[in-house]
Amino acid sequence: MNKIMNIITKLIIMISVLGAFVLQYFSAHKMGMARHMFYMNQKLSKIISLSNVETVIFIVTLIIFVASVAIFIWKKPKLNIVDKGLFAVISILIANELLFLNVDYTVAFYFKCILFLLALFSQSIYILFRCMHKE
Amino acid sequence: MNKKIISVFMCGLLLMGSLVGCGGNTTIEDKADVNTEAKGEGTEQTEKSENEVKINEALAVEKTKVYVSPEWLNSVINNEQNESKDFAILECGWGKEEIAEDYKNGHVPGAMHMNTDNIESPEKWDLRSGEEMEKLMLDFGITKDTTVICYSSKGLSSADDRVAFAMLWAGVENVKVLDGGLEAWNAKEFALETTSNKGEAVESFGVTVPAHPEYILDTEQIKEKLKNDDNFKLVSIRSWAEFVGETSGYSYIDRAGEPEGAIWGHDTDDGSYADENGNTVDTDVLAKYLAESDVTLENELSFYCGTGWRAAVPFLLCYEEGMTNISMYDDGWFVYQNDGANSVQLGDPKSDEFEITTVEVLSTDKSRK
Repeated sequence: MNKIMNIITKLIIMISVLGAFVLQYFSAHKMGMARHMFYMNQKLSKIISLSNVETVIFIVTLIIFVASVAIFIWKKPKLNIVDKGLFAVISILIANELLFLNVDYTVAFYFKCILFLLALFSQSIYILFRCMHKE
Repeated sequence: MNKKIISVFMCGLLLMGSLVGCGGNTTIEDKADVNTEAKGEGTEQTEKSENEVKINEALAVEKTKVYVSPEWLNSVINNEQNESKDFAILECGWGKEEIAEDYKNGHVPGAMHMNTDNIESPEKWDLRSGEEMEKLMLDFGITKDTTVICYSSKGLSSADDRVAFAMLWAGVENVKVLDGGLEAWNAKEFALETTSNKGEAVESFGVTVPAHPEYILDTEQIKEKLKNDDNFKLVSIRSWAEFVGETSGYSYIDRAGEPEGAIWGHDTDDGSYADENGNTVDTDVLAKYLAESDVTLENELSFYCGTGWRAAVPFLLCYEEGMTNISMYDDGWFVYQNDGANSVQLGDPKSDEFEITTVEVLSTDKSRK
């Protein structure tokens, strides 16, 4: 079970992070993709105000991050260096995105944030899972 | 004795070689540092003062002529045309200069990169406001009297036509497009350079921007004209698949169709507006396309496409013929399909399957995949 969970979360993380960088690259290098991202931002803005998207992502990220760190401290899950490192890298990626970048810098900003958040969420779920299934 | 003669002869050869070598690449009237990488014999540029313009009459063109040959552009660079006194060459394409590989790999000497995002606002992809356009042109060192010569890396690309249209709308009086783009320039083996050129900012454009607001119609105007003016014709410069509503033609447009009353003016992307040599056709070809819908060049014509790139080509063709009964519907299908109440036509107007509907009932799965 541990192995399956490990594979699934790593796959989700890989696809999310890779997807974020692919979005970043093509929206900066291909006109069609850039305009498509503008269009997606417009669609997103019809669901939720874009000024609120960043705040929502920031709060959710903070909650997941704090919860994961709390689990680390109290439950002390048996995690190898790769899992700990992955958690740190994803946290840095999303922090960099939220603190230093914005939609004016990269039109794919919101979708990159969502993908990084998905990666962080997946890794946190895996950490929680390891706490519940200590072997 | 023989050694002395050979030495003197060799020195003479070396001196001549140096002189010939130094004479090849020169500056272009303060436009830019030109580090030319001459590929052939076509670009012997000599330093001449502005007062020493020797007109090459054989290549001279009218002020209203838009599509020009590589030979003409080369003669402008070589200070052989009246336009040589004040000109700007724009290599037009989407994206900032850092990612503009075609520009960085080699461009026409003196050319500056023009990112099409500079002239279009992302909300509607319409041309930017007069104030924004004026500031842009001042930054590029362009006034109404500057001859602006636009080109794209690919002959069929309409980025240069779009920028040229924007310049005319703004008020630049002499606007040219290099026919066939960089491909045509390279075919003549004229020089390229890789220097990054920037314009020298100027203080005043010389006229209120836009000087020609009449060149652009908005959605309400075309709807009103289609309803009340039989002489007015809205000409779609899109593919047949776009025209009959099979696809929107764009990844970022969900719905397919055309404004009710539009006629088909063929597409520029498929080469319908280029001859076998890659040169832009003349208005006879446009007239033939219009005749398919019983429309002539005498009608009031407003060209449009998705966001205004392709539509610029027939506009410029008509402009250089001196036609004044022309405009561009700059909003295009991108803006038109955003209002659910707008009336839409689907299918071939001459077929039984032709139908009129509204935007709100169109399916939203017609984006280009």
